[in-house]
Amino acid sequence: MHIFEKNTLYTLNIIIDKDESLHILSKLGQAQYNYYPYIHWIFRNNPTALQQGVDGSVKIGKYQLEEMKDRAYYDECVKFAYDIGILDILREATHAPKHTYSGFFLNGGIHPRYSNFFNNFTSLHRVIPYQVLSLLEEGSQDEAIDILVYWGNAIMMVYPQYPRLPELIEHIRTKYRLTDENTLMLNELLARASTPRHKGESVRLVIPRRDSMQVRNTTFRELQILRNSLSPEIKNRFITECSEYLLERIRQYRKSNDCEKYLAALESYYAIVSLNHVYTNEVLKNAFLFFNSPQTPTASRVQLLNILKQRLPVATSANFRKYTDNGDGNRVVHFSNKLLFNRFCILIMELLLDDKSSEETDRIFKQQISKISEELKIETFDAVAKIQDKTKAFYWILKNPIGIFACDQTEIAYEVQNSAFEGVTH
Amino acid sequence: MKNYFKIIIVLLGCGRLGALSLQDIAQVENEWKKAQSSAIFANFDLLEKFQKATPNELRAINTEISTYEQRKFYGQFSQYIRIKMRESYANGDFQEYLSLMKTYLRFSYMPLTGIRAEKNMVIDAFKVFNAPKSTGIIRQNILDLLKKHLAMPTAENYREYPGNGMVFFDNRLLFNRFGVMAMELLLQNKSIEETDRIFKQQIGKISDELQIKTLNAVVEMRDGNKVFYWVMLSPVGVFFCDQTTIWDKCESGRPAIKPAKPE
Repeated sequence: MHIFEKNTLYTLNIIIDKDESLHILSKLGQAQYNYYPYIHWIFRNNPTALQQGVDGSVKIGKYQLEEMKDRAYYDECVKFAYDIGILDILREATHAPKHTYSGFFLNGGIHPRYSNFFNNFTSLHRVIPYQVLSLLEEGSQDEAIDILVYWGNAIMMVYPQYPRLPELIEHIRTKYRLTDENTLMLNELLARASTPRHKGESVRLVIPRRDSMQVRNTTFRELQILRNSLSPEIKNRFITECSEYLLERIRQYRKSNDCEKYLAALESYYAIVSLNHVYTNEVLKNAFLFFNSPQTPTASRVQLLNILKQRLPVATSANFRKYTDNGDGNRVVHFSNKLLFNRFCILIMELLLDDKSSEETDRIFKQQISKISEELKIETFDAVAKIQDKTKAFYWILKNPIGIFACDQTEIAYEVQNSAFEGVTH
Repeated sequence: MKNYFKIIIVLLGCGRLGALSLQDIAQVENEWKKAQSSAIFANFDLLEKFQKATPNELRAINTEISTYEQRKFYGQFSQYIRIKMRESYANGDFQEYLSLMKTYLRFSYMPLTGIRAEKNMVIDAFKVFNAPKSTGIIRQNILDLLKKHLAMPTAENYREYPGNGMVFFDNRLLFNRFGVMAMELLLQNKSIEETDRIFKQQIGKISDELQIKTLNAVVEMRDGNKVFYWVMLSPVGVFFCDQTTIWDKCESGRPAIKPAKPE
């Protein structure tokens, strides 16, 4: 499958609606053609945006066709065109009237400039059914049905009476025990495939929307592939735009106390910012407030803690200190206090969730801080959990590096020395 | 060249106001010559007539000197005095030490320099205060000097709103207050419980006055010595001192928004 089908950007699907998709699309479309995998992704995952979005994508598609320089680019473009409505792109690219679409394929009346493009399309076209069957044999039923439905919708636009499609659907329905959701998707596809159409009749691509909760669990490998596949400039611009968007959503859902959406947005945010390792403390502080809000049910607190534990990088002996040379032969040590703050936050939330007595919480907190201090070679002066205004408050005073981590129910913050000459603190 | 003259004139003004002698000035001159160029002091003899200048005249001249040049010069000069202070202390000459400290503090707060006493001065004074060979009288003198000359935070000067949507905290002033308070309590030499009680009370008062959200303020015994610390949550930070060291680490600024209210 195309990498972007399962990458972390899937996560946006949960919270994006039509207007927002188009907004992002317009921003991305104006930027550079390198954004197109993301546009592809947005369309692919958001059927509500598709109807209006196709018009925008045509222009992008045409631009790409004209700018294509190498084979890899052709390949990408084929995948893109395949998913978002290939015929519109072809029409734009070749200035052909609509009713000649199939003629291009059947009679080979293609401009030589685009021959590779069509060759790729037809290859894909032949391979897909086998890929679907192969995935079903492997037990990847959801993935197989997704591909089949995408492909089926697209192929119907090229060949309105494509005979293999109903046959393939029947074959799959007979041979494999499908889930209710997949059965429903196939039934809808079959109904569309069985509806007679006139030659040249315009057909809209219909992309089903699957519950994407499961695809949010992007693996580290998938994220790495995404990271490596984009230029740093493009990657950062996209991540910045996406994360700003999500940040706004996080604030909004926090305000309206919509737990489910808040958590989805939060997880999406962390998945995306993990690509360039730019974490803002604001989100974590916001999450802490959400955690402590009386309106947040325990289940959501647990879920939030799990998300943070899964997504937040924390300080370890390997990443807490970095060394540079200041040019005078002195080594300067830099402390990754943000990572330590992440660890502090998670620790506090765990202790709050445990809901033990004040004395017991203090004992465990001291124990944990001592463990962290030892691991990270931090000289700790004191770590205290106490009751303040009838709620638990925590602080951790560090002597080397010097600083403080502190929180109560409404605020969590830190201030720690960033760097020092090696062996010197104050 | 012209500017350096003016700086030296101001320096002499400082000397007159404080206890700095012409010998000290000459030594500064020597240090300056070594570090910079002797040309700066080519017409040094001319300075004598400026010694009679009134503070207003000096102030008027000083306004013509760029801030950069002032800072550069006074930075070196303050370093020089600090070295002299350490030497005086090491030689057991406490009178000279106190005299230099007084000069330095007065000099640091002169309106024409715009430079306030550095944090290092408080740190140095704190070390001397706690040194075993410092007598009760010396300690009292140090404390009196600091109380008299150090600027302290108030509700008006602690927060600054430059108009860019940020609020900045003048933690140097707060550091002065913490240092003086700790020294006062150490000088009183009360029981640990009583010291802790008074410290908490004082911090509570400061917190109210400066609208600081304090998480804890503690005096406790560690290794046979009194240790003071003050943990703040908004602005976030900590002030700490024991018998050998005094330090702070505080947030310097943040967006000027109201703190989150409890749910």
